[in-house]
Amino acid sequence: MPQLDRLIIFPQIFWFFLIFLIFYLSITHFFLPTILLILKLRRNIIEINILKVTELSETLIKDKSKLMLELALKLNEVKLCIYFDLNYNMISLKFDRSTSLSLNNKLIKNLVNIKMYCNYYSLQNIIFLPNVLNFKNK
Amino acid sequence: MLNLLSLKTIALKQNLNNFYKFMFTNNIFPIPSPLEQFEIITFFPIYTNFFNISITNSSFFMLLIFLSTFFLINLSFYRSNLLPNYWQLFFEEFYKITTNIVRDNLQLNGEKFFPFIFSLHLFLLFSNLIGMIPYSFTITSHIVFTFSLALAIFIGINIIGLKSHGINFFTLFLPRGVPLIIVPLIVTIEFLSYIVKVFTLSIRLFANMTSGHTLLKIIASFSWTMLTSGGLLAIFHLIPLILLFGLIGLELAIAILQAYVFTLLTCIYLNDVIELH
Repeated sequence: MPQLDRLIIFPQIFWFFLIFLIFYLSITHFFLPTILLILKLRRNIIEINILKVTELSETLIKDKSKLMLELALKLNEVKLCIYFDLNYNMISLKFDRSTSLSLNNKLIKNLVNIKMYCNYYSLQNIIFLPNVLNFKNK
Repeated sequence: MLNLLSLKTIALKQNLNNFYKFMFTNNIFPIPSPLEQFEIITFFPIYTNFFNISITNSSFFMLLIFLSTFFLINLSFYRSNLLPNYWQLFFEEFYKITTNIVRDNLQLNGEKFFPFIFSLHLFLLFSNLIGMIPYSFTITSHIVFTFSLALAIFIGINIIGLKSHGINFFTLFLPRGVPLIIVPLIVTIEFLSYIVKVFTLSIRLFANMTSGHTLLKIIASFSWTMLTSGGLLAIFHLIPLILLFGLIGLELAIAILQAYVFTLLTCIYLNDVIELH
C-alpha cells in the first residue's frame, strides 16, 4: 500500500497543519460572523413580525366587536320601526285602498307573463326545425 | 504470445501512435493497480537534511480544498441576504447541522469549541467530496493525515480536561463505587479504551475512504477490460458500469457520513472529558 510509505509522513503533517490553521482562522474571522449576523437578524425580524401580527389581530377583533354591537343596535331600531309602522297601518283607518289595487294589478300581469312565456308545456309545443328542411325560402 | 523484443521492434519500426493502437487491439494495454491512486507524487521538492516539506499532490489538494471552500463560501455570502439563495441555504443548513451536533453532545460547554468543530466538519466534508471527483486525490485516504488529525484532537482534549479539572481529571479512569479488588483491572481497561479512541477515530475514516476508492477503481478497470476484450463481452461491460454508478452514489453518501461521524465522535470524546462521570 502506498499509504504506508515512511517518506511521505512529514510533508503531509506539515502542510495539513499549516493549511488547516489558515482554514480555521479564515473561517472564524470571515465566515462565522456573517452567518451569525444573518441568522440573528432573521430571527429578530420574525419576532417583530409576530408581534405586529398579534397587535393587528387584536385591534381587528376589537373593531369587529364594536361594529357588531352597533349593527345590533341599529337593527333593533329598524325592527321596532317596522313593527310599529305595520301595526299602525293595519290598525289605522287611513289604509289606502288604491295602492293595494295597483299592487294586485301588477301581480296579475306578472302571473300572466309567467304563464304565457315561461311555461314548459307551451314551450314544448312550439316545433323548431333545422334550416336544412326549409325548402320554401331559398 | 508476444515477447517484449517483438514489441520493441514494432515500436521502433512504426510511430508511437501505431504502437499504442497495436497494444490496444491486442489487449495488452497496461491497467494500473487499484492502489495506484493513493500514491503521493512530489510536484515541487523542498527538503533539507533534516526534514522534507516538498509540495506533493496531497498538499496541493489540501490547498485546493481550502481555496475552493473559501471561495464558495465567499461567493455564496457575497450578497448576504435575509432571503437566502440556494448556496447560502446550503451553508446555513450545514451550520445548523453542526450546531445541532455541538448542542446535543456538549450543551452550553461546547460554545467555545464550536469554531474548531465547524471548520473540522467543513474541511473533512470537502476533502471527502473533492476526493470523489475522478482523477483527483483523496487526502483522507491516508492514514498519516487522519492519524495526525486524531492525535492532535486527542492531545487537545487532554489539555482541555486537565485545565478544567486539574488533578481530578484522572478520575476519568476510575468510575465511582468500584470494589477495591477490581480497581487495577478497571483502570487498565478504561485507560486502554481511552487510548484506543485515537486509533479508531483515524482508522475509521482512512479505511472507509481507501476501501471505497479501491472498490470503485477495481470495478472500473474490470469494466474497461471487458470493453477492450471485444466481442460479446464488450456489450456486457455495461453491467459493471451500471454497478459502478450505483457504487459512486453509495460512496458519496459514505463521504458525507464519515465527515459527520468524525465530528460527532470528536464532540462525544470532548464531552467525556468535560463532564467527568
